[in-house]
Amino acid sequence: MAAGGAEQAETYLRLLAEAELRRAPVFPGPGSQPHRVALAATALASAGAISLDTAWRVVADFQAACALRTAGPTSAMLSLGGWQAWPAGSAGRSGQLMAARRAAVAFVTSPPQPGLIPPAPVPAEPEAPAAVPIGTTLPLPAEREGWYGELLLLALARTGTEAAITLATRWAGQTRRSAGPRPRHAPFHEVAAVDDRGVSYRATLWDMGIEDGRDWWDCHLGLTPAPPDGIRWLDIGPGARGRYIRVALATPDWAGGIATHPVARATAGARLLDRAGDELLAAGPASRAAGLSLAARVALLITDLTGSGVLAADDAAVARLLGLGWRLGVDLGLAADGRVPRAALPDTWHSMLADGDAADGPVGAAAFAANLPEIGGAWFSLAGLRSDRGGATLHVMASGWTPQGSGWVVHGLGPHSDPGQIALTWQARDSAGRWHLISAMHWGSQQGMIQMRLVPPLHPAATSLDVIVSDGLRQVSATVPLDWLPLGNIR
Amino acid sequence: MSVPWWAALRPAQSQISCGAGQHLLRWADGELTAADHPDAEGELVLAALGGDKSECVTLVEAWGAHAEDLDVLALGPRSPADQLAVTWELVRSLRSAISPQPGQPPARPAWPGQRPGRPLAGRLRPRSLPMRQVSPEVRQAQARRAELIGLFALGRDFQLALSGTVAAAWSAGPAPGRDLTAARPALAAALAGRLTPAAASWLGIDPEAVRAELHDGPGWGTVELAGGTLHTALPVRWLAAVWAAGCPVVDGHLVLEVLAAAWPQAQVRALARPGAAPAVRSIRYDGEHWSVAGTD
Repeated sequence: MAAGGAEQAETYLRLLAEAELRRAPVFPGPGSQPHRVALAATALASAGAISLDTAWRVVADFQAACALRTAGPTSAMLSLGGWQAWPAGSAGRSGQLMAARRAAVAFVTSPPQPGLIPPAPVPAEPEAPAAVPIGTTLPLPAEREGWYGELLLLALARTGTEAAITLATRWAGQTRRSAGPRPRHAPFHEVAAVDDRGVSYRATLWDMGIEDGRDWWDCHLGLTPAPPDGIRWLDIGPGARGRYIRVALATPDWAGGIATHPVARATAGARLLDRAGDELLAAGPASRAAGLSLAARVALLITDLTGSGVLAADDAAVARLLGLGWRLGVDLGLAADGRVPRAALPDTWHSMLADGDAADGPVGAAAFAANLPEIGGAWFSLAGLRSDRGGATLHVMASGWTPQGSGWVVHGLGPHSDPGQIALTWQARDSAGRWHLISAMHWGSQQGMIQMRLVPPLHPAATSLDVIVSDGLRQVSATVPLDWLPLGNIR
Repeated sequence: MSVPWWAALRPAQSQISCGAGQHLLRWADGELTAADHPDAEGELVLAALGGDKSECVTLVEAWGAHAEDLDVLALGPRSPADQLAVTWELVRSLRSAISPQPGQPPARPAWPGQRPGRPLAGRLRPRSLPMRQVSPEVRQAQARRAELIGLFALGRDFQLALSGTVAAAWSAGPAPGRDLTAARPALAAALAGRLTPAAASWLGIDPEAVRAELHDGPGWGTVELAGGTLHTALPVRWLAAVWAAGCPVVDGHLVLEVLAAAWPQAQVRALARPGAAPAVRSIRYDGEHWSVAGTD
């Protein structure tokens, strides 16, 4: 941390708790709308200004004090210090940060559970995944009311224990003109896989999302068990008329590029604010975060980091975030005006400010695969993308890292949309020069598969995409081709 | 010789259920005593050997165990308007909730500051209530917290006396097991949580306009009004000698320190307004409030 040190930060948090206790000694309880002290504790812990143990102790004391004044739950009175962070085991650095963040999430989103020892995470060393592109459509036989779907297989990603085929699926047509309307859910035709040795694999559709009648669903087929090394190909099917699609598992020659660069060191507090700026641009100031508008949540973040001495009020990270707020027309709690120079804001933010409202994305899918080197103790494979007018969905297989959140749709990248996770940051830039940020992550399966929603949409003229992951020390960028597979050809 | 921190504190007493009867606990001159147990030390020895321990002796022992416990200041009262909703029924409920499962040994908390030769005996009886699996460390901490809430149940005067006891211990300087640096944020919050409402009521200003800090150096500290904000810096001892005595503000004076006292009278150094020179005042407790009795 920059200025004040851990003692100043803890004092700030405790004084805040005193003020909150004096103001409204009602038992607030954590949950989807964490109380003010929990939010500040999370911010200071995320910035590395105080330990999770200190954060927990202060919040537990605050909650116990509230409970003692309001005859609140006895569990809160007994909720004690002694944070029992999930042991990170042999996980990488990113995994250790993630374990700590999980503890924080459990802390701010769970009711008081005195003495409950959280389950230990799997401490296995992450295994590098590998992906291969597919780019083939499997037509499906007719289901309800004569509607038939199709699976557009994008890529196969796997580790030694997990495997998944990323895909986009839709209802492609109808065999009977007089039948009922198109189902609102995704096609759900069961398929399986068979390898070149005759071994069968169960294929289960995952992460199809809600039934909302959309044109395309982004999801993946989880393969059980994972195909072992040495397999040459898999047949996926049966589709319509018993058709199978053959997926070669040999690693293809790949024309893209992967580069690793060191990045300028920044304090955790500064990274947290930069992350908040990304959130403001990707999700919008009016989106919800920890029970507040994101703008209000970010304002509290600035208040806590500057008030606790983690960052000086005139820190460059504070200035550029205030400058962003001024440009977005939102009040972030401190005075700012247009004098924050344009050069103080990163190119990403300028691009987002210029193109944030674009709705000109190409409609298509790109079946690429790229295996990134280790970053922050985690491994990633990029496994295809589907683009539409409003954005793009990037498929990623992760090993040693999962997004923050409750496990399903994660809007924002922190506990209950609280912008707090800074272990890894994701950005992308297309070949036309348009930058993209992640507005939401979607993950729910056991295969380490993550769908990342890129906004704004890809530039219509883009032919490739640089996907950039940073851990604060280094950044890995992978350039993937955007060779569009056309969407929308109804048979 | 300096005045004892407890010199201006009102003696307190409370009747509690102990065994088959009602017994008296008294706090005076900085000590809690079980009036109906003249040989409390002997009872403790017997309890350590497996005998029963009375509720009175349990509470006296707990008082000593929490004499330096910063949780007292984190949870205890801040101002006259700040009342704890602690009852004996609540205490029984807490004790029941944290009782060991059948077949498990009772918790034997090892408090920081526990005196050698005074082991804590099995006060907690096994019960049959279902409970979560918790670690022994967490169970001990819960037992300790329940024990503290049991002390709060003795009543307001005891809450103030225990708060004063803790503040006095931490204002006494370094001691084995007492990490002043680590405790500083908690002590700063304890001071601010109690000085802020007192100072705000003294001047009739919003508590948000009060800044309270720890004063470490010689002298009583500082109290200055600047730009609409009252900046105060007082030592931890103020909590023990002044705030716990219930006399932070007396007849429009902010009391800074107690110079001499024999309850219900005290001689104090006090401020009539920010920036003024402190003056020595005699104050007296009239049964309900402290009031200025004269100028020295």
